[in-house]
Amino acid sequence: MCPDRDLVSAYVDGEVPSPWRERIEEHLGSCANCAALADGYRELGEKLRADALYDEAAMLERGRARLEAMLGAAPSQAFLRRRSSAGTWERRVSLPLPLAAAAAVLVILLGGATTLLALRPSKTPTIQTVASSDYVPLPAAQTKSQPTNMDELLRYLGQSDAQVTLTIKLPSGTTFGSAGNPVIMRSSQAPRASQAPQNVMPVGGRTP
Amino acid sequence: MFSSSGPPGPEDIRRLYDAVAPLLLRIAARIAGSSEAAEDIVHDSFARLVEKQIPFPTMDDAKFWLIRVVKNGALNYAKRKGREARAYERWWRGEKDSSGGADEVVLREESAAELRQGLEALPESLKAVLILKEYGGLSYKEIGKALGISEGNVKVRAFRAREALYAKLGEGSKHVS
Repeated sequence: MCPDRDLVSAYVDGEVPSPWRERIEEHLGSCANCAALADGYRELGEKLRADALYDEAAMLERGRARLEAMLGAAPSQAFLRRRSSAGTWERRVSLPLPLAAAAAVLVILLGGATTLLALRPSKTPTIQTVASSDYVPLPAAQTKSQPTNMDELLRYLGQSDAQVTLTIKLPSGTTFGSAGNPVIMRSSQAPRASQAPQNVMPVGGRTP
Repeated sequence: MFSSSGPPGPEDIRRLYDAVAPLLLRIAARIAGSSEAAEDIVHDSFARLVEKQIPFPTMDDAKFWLIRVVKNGALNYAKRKGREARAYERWWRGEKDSSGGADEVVLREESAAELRQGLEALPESLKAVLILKEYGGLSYKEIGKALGISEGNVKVRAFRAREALYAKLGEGSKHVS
């Protein structure tokens, strides 16, 4: 009895497992019809493949060149996509830690100073240490002069990995009035209370 | 296997291209009936792979994903372009081949065109299986993985595709058992 045609088809594809493969093989040797069917299936595949429509080597080469171009451009494209997809407000602004710390100091000092000056009585200016920081200047070997003003402080913070913790203590029982722009200076260089201009706020620095 | 567990990097993509692009281009060209379209379809499939950053566990997973994407892309293209009309044009134009005499070329072109048209006229489900088998040289198991069907289903479809082509070509009668 002849095997079903779908079995012959699977046999041609090498998809019939042993021992059925050997049995079909044996049958094909003695059955001309089934042998012709198997040959016909094989021939069909050969004819399909022989129909060389395309220059596959050239296609492959062109494809490879396009792939390389894409891989070369991929990182920047991905970056641009990320950039453009994030809205203006979603963008992160990053500052180096020293700069961020310095900015925080500035904000706190100016905010504190403005508040203090606003509450300061205009008549009797008294210099009090209202803010102190644990800012430790670099050893003399590393820096020629210790920062004495905000610009230098910022520069100092910018060139080192300094961390600054700032504490502002407002003296109780004191009233403040407003006058001029606040200035930050070292307490040792601050003018005496009687000479102090109203817009000067000394900052108490702790030196090692 | 990919070098890392994450999404494929440029080197993985290159290795993948070298391993499967010949197969993908052949399949795409046969289904779409155009080498230009095949090149675009295959390139797009790699672009999608790069863009999506899918973490394929193995190179085989990426390969079957690509085959599926290329097969679908090529079938869509063939549908869009009205494949049969162009096939006739090509046939009448009589594509030139460097080998063989003029008569031989004409004869071969005729039977080749006939076969091509027969293949194109097959239902998609049968055509994809036969193309993956005959042009891709994939096993039933691999075809099943690429198309998301069982091996048994692949076997049935391969058989039906052959029978349908036989019927189209009028050759089936010669092999009745």
